[in-house]
Amino acid sequence: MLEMENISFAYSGKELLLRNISFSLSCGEWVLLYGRNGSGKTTLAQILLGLLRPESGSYFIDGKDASRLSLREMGQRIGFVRQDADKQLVGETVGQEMVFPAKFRGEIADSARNLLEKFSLGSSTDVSPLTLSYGEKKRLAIAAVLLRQPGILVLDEPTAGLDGKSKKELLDYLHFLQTELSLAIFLVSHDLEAVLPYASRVLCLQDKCIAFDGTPQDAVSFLPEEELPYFLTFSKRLGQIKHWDCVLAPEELAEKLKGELS
Amino acid sequence: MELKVENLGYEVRGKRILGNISFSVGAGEMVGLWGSSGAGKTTLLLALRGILQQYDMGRLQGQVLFDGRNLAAYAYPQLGREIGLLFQQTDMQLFSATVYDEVAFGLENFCVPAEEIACRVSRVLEALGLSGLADTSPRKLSGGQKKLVVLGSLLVLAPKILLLDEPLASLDALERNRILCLLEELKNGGMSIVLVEHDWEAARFVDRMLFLAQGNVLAEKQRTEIFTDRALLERCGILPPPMAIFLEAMGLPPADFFSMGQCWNRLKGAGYLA
Repeated sequence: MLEMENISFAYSGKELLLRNISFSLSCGEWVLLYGRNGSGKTTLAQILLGLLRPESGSYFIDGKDASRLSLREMGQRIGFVRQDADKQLVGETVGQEMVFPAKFRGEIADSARNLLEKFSLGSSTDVSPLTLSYGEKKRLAIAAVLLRQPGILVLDEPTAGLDGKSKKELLDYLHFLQTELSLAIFLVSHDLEAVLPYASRVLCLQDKCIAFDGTPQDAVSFLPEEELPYFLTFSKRLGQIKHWDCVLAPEELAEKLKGELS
Repeated sequence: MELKVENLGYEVRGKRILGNISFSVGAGEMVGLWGSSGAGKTTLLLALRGILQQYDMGRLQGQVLFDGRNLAAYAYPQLGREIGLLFQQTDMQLFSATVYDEVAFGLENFCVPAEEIACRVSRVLEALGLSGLADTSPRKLSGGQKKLVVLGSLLVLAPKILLLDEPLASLDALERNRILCLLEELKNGGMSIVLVEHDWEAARFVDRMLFLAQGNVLAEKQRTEIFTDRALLERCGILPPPMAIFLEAMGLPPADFFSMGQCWNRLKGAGYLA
């Protein structure tokens, strides 16, 4: 579905930020891109969207050379939810946000309503997006992007600023889209605790390159403890004692331990 | 130096955002505000900074006292120096051409001598790990780095009170830890800090936590008390930390979830570990 090979990138006049980046993303796959602050994660996401052109390397979407696709064609294939949702909300009301651009007006009233319900915004159709809380704005931005039914969804730090319950609801819904509609998800995040249990694959950006490409369990083994949240550190150490792969979700870890004793 | 909130309420366009909130934050104290999205945490921070009404022209009741005087009695520049506020969306707080200029801006406006500005800015940039980015445009930084720059522009003024709206969101684990350790240092130096967070790891550093839901404070708890009150977290729409979920699923009694030793001991006591 999406394939990058030996992509390198530098902002003009600066040294290389990304070097020889290669990876693929298939239908129904959820890839988490992780890296330290300033490691180039958002830049890589922007290359993926066609907003930045790489210096070298090749990039194909659905077998087509991405450098020959217009931004409009890229936009039809890939939906993007920015880190700062404020920057992509343009409607005067939540309802208008959902029918932007105008060509969707009328045709998608039902799907728009369903999506707003799904994101707990059904009762806010007539209010200004500006009056919504940060979490609500984020949910609205995602709902508006999904309305265009892209095959690939790119999200930059979607869980930042959300409470635990809202994070879980959002990630559960993305999981539904991934499994039921075979949507490919490319998610940039530091929030390993919340996102790792959902990812099918993890890419770690380090020193301008992809230093790791593998399963979430192996990513926990790969990453040093100081980069892991508290529960994952605990689970990693327990896994080392018990000689099993790191378990990512607390309920699953409890089941596994209890199962072992019985 | 104390920040005291007395019967604070706020209503905008007929919608009640804050109920009737009272609490205080003493010198050298870090108070956490916890609650689900839309609970009123950001609105409360704007009120503590004295800019809520300018923000969206609502109706404010009650008062916020800073060192015994109503915030409204202070000149605006003085409040800017004494009370620093880190917005959740930091882009709106960045406007200078370089990181250095951004951090120096406040001091320049208070006519601090150039040599002192250079010294204070360098110290803050170093503490935040930003020295190598001094000449970079803030707009070219990552979301997490922008947050650190804004924090630097506040800290350089040495405010007495620091209000932080999710300072850890979009920071990696090492930066989160750096910020939390820095906040603890500032707190120990006498700064009062009000911290809005969703990240449970920050709870390790706060002295008290206020739990908000629908614009009201439902409870005020010490850090060690919080994980045993599942009903309160439920009422606030908050998920417990993963370690709490794990121990509960194991049927084990709650522990201080930031003490790895206590959690190991729970497992050993129940025969899961040798």
